[in-house]
Amino acid sequence: MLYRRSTGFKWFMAVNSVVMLLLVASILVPFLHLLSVSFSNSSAVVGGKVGLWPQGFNLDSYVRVFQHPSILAGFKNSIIQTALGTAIGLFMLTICAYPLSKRALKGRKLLILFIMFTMFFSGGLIPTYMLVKSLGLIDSIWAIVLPFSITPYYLLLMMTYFQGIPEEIEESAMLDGLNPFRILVQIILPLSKPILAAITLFLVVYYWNNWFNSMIYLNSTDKHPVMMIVRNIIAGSDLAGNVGQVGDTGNNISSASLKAAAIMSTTLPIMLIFPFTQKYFAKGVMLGSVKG
Amino acid sequence: MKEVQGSKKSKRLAGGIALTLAMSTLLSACSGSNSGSNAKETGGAATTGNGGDQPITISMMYDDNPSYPFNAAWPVLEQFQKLANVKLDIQPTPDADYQNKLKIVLSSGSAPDLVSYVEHPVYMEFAQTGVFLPISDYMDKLPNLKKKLEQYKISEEIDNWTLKDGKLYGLPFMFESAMYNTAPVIRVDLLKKYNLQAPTTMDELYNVLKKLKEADPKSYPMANLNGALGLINLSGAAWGIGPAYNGFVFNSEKNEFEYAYTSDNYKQYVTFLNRLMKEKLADPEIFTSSTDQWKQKMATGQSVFTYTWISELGQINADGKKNVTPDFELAPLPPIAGPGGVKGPSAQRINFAYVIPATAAQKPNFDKLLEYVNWLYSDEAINLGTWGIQDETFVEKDGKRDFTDAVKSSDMIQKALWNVGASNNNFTTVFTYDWFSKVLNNPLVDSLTAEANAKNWFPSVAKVPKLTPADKEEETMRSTTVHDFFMRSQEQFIYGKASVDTDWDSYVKEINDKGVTKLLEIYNNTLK
Repeated sequence: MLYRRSTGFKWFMAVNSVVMLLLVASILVPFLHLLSVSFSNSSAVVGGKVGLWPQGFNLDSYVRVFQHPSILAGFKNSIIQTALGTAIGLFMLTICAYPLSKRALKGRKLLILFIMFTMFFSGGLIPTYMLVKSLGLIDSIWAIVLPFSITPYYLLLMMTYFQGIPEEIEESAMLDGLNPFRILVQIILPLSKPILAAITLFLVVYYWNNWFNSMIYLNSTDKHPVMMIVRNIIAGSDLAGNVGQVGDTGNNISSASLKAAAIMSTTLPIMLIFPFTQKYFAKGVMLGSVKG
Repeated sequence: MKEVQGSKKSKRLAGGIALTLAMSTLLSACSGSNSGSNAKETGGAATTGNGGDQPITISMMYDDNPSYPFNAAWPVLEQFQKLANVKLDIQPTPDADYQNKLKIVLSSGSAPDLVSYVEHPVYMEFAQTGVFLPISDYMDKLPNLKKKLEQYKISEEIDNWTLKDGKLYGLPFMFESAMYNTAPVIRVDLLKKYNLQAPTTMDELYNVLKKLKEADPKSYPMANLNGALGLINLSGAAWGIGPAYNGFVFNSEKNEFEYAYTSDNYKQYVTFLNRLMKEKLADPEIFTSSTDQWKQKMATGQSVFTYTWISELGQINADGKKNVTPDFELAPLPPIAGPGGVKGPSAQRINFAYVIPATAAQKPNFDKLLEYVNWLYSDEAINLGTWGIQDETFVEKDGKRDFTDAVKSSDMIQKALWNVGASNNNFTTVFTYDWFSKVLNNPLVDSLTAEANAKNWFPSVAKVPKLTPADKEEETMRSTTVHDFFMRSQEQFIYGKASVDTDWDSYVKEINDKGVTKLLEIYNNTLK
């Protein structure tokens, strides 16, 4: 480790640390600003006096966010969607990726080509809507979790990871009398924890943040996820004197702090998951990609 | 041998595919049971109720406004269903994405029985395709609507919603009369402080802004919300470039359409804004400020002049008093005259419409649906939708209505109405003048409106050409290109990246080539 003593390396480390700190700051500062806006007094927010520390600390914005008639149902729906979507997604990805990772599978290339194809071309929104409609899935949670259960990108990640597991392990398992299904469950999956954890995290974040599919496919308010409500609060409270509308956003809470509170109360839950998956995530995603 | 093996494997593959297919049918079967309930809902009027006194179910697409998030327990909503003897199956969609979802639902032919809040462009696009019920064919069953149309003398605007085939495909949402509810607003406390006169012409405006800039060199006196088009909407009539249909205005003297954004008036408009920009009299973010940013600029005194809705002023004044000075006062002005004359905001009285899908005509409860729609235009329904519930939110005395003291003493009348479900764009069909003025609760709006009517400040509404489906397609194709180019060039002129003196002619030529000439030809052909 001689190179660690060279001046060049010290310089590199110094510059590296500075760049990293700047990077961290560029992510952390807006976040902290939003957090302090969400706790601040509205006239201070409108007056542009809020920096990284709340001015005129209060919880009014949060109270108003949680007074929204369907926000609690929204959280519940989001949790259900996320849990169900992630479970189905993981299951589908695993049973799809495992056979496709076997080079001996005939027609494998064609199948992979089919899957890759959907990465670049999709049917478009209206045909997809009509498909979902004729499957009778409109206004049901299945419209959210089924059609998007296989993401080609994650499938490829998983496939390459499975390919990296030495076939000898499977061969010896087979000699010990395991059938392919049990090999997958008892040998392969325990060896694949990093990729499973990484993809779980991806899926959880995807389902938690995705409001678009719910907006398109769900009609009843009591099925809407929380992100859709938040999106409406953020995008909508802007249009003060919109045509045909009389008034403004109302009360003494500035829409800025209301938005901040809405964003905070929905991002925090998902952020809290990260530390628990982080140890897998660190060695995670790209593990599958480079194994010779 | 190899071939044999191959075919064996391909059989296995085929088997695999068959298995997958079987699984997917299984899965969709599972979900089928789950979605059974919603199949009924989308069936709407068709499946429930068989005449008699049984309330029919009307499914309805609903624009969910974040200011008053949908609440199934609203008393007004209950009253609506009780009085009309219907059950409303409401499908709320967030306002932010409403027009998008609307297009998808209409394109895929799965609209519910009643669709609220269809904006004019979407209406025009889809009315051509025949997915909407031609309302004008059923006028004999809608006497209330007919009466209101006559009473409000709104035929000029109804004409804009009428297609080439002479039919009306939507149920208009109407304002009883135009209102001076947007205005140029200025900090009158500063005018007083520096002994300035309120501007009445664009030149005076320039001078006032200049003086105010001198008084506070760090400021950008003029700000704006809602982007470049927003500014044209609010001030375009005075400049003689609005109200326009996609930038086209109808010249009634010559009886032809003209493109406003190549006119001399428009040239003056961009020259004026360019001058403000160059001398730092206008906010550099004039076209990009979000509403929050704009509010901040106004309430911190960074900007002191803007065009906006008068109803916004209360909040900004309150914030400004806390942040800047106790004297802080933004107040509305009469229109500032430009080359177009003393013209105020657009007097458009129909901004959107309800539609019924054409397929509803085949449903057994169609007559009941029309009955409900007709009832929506009755005074009973209009009062309920706007004023709320009698003796709870409003009282009626000698034919005059007013809000109850409880409503009047709340922070905001509008908010008190929203809490019971009234003042909701999705349930009501008409905003009457007396109601609107009581809600705005600003004597200036009333007096300015009276003045506007007396002095003829309201410009006539933009005329919409009646296009054949083929022309409409051509229009859609061209107008996007034209619009993008217009927006880009406007920015270049105003920010000084292009010069009005040297680049104007090439701009006019290019925008004409990009489609304006063709569009003018199409529009003017409709007049023959």
